[in-house]
Amino acid sequence: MLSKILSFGLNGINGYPVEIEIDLNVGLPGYEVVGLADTAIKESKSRVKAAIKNSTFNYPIHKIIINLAPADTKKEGSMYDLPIALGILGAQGTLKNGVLKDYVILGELALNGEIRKLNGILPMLISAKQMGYQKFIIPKENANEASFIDKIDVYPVDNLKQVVSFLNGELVLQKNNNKVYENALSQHTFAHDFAYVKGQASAKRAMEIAAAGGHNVILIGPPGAGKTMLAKCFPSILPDMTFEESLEVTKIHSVAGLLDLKQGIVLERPFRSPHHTATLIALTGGGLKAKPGEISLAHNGVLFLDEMPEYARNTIETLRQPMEDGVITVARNAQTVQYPANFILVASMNPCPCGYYGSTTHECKCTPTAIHKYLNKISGPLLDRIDLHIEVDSIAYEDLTHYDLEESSAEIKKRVNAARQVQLERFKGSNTFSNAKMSEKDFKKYCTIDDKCSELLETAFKKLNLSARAYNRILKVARTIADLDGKQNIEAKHLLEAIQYRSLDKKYTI
Amino acid sequence: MEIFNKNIIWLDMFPFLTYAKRVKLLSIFSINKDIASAIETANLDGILTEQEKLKMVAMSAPDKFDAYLLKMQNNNILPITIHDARYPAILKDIKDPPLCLYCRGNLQLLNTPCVAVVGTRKLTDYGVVVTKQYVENLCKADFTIVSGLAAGVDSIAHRTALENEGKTIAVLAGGLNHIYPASNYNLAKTISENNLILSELAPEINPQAYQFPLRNRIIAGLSKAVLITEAGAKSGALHTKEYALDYGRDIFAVPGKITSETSAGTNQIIFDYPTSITLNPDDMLSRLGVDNKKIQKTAGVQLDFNQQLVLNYIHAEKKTFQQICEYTKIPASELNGMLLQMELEGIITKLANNSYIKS
Repeated sequence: MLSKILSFGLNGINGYPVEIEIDLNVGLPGYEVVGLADTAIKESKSRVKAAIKNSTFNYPIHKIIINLAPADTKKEGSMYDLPIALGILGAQGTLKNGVLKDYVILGELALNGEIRKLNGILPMLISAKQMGYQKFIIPKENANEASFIDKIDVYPVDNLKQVVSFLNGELVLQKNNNKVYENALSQHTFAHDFAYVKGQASAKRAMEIAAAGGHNVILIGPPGAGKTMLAKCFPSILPDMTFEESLEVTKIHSVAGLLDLKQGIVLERPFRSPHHTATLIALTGGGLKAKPGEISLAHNGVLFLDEMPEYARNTIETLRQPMEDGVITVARNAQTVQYPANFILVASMNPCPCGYYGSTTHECKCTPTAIHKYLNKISGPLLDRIDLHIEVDSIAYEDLTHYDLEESSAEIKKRVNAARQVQLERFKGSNTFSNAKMSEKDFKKYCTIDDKCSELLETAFKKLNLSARAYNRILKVARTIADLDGKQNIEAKHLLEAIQYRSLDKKYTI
Repeated sequence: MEIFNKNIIWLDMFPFLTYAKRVKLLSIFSINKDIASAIETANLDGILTEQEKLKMVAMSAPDKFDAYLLKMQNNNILPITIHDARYPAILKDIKDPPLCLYCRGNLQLLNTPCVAVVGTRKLTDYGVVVTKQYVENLCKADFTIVSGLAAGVDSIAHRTALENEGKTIAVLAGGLNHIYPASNYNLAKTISENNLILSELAPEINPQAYQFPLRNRIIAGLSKAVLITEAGAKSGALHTKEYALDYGRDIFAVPGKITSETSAGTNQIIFDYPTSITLNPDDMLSRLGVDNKKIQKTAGVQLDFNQQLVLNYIHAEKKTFQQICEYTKIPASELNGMLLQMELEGIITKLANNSYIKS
């Protein structure tokens, strides 16, 4: 009267096997779950009972003991409904002997026996595959998500009755079709495209450089200049994600329940724009279940902080460490989880509190002290990590009304991809993939300039009152501009352009 | 230290003594009498209240004064009294010269020919360009730029002088240990390295609102001429103008648009005193008696076709990057570097909102 069944649990974005043991005993009828189960699992009692009965099976009049092993790890979620129901049916003999042992089973039950979708299927399947498990039974709605993992047998199922017939060999189920990432990618189109952004030649050029070198950027301009629009178009010129990158992103989005289940995988680099009232936990991740935060959801993509000076200072200051390391460790009472957080930061701000400093159309009403205070809201160390300061001009009416299409994102992306290829070649064999993340050693090696250039840089530093921290940033950006230009060495014109993107480093504006 | 110098500095320790009272006290006692030791017994009814006198008596011990001087010395502050040979001769001409100047920096600047450059704290792009232009030329003609270390025109004037390796004096409204506004702390520090900051008040006295106009009298008094580049209808620069007229200094005002709030003051000055109008730095310099030919003009930079194209386009008024880009058809990637190069060569000036104008 004992059955064993295999399922999976989640810790962050990694799965771990959970063995479910079910024992039917003579005694007063009852249902007891042991093994640090959360409320959702304990409540499975009612769902399992109703689902079994409504699927026209007998529900045992026994004392049912359910053990979730390993017994010392907290388990949570509703994915154990289906395995528990099958375990009970197996223990009372409705299922044939031994049919359960090959499968990893996941699924939530509805009262009528239907099987509902789950969050985090992809990370659990990937972990299971790595541990050598081969056969899986999962909810049908999650089928697309699982279809991008090859070399495993996945059986998507609709309802409890169907699963029982399948396991008993009375029904043949179709294996899940495998999909190829590249095919899905080629059919994908972006909602935002630079072709529809009028004017802004300077800002677009800067965005191209940022995409090519993986640099963090801040857009500075008056309200209505198009900062947000530019930022939204940014993912469309970033190089396509590799399959591995895409899987990483999909894992995080799956855990957070944000995955588009029709598509099953994330094809576009994520674009996250948390509101400026977002709390520290919302950005970094945490909460009772140590969920991924916005910076992890933006992994391999773009984190857009609109009106950056409006964010609470301590909230944005926490970005500093993950921006260096590319990961964030979320420590909570129940568990400590590490989420990847390798994003490009795109921030935007106005030049002054009223927004119209230097505008041609409106008069700025801010006092010098107010402007100074506003600009000071972004700390030096954070500014240190932002390579490009892009000034966005306000648009003239004439620019809005002519309907010529501008250069499309696809065109820009070609140049970006070429520049990225140069960088991949350069950093081969190391952990670096872009100029922005270059180590100090690589910096010394690849960002050298000749005497003429260093003389130029010195003049610029003196004339423009640049602060010392601008030095490394300028050279890194110049490196990317040279890559875009297809040049081996950094030349004067590359350097000059790079210096233009350090406007916030000028020691004073007034 | 001579007794007459000590007397002046000692009296400056007490912020409640007005200028008139200090002059009176100095005249009551004979010039070689130590006021500090004599004050307790002197009859000063009608000048000082009992309380004020008690406060002064409390500070009369010689060791207290020595400690005070030592502290000043440690702060690199040098008091130059009106009896000192280094005291600027031009300042003695005015009817209410400061009795003592507390100086930090290069004292040689005190007796160089000075021009005051003052104006609004809330300046526009126009004010930036004009102030820079005039200050550069004045520096080339070897004038020392005097201003008040305030935000806006004052800061631009000091900074442009420093950038062009010219000479500059900042006159503060409060004591030298109380830099106001605090945002100009670093600027004050840089000026006191090779140039000069000075104040009429003892180092520890906090600036009060009424002291700013008094400070303007020193700015006007030190200078041969006062230039106002941009000033609103109620700008403090108008005080400086009043003093300048009073002291018989030349005034120059740069005209602005009649619709511009920040040029209302300068335009009014021109309306009241038509000869004060200045239309370019050369005309101002020649009226100051400087031979224009003696000033070394920077050799004209050779411009290529594209640079000339850009320069012609932004000659009259500022244009944004986008406008320049569309007009010249130069791709953004090239234009960016080109504009910076022209900026570094001093041909054009970059303004807020990514726009440019000819310098």
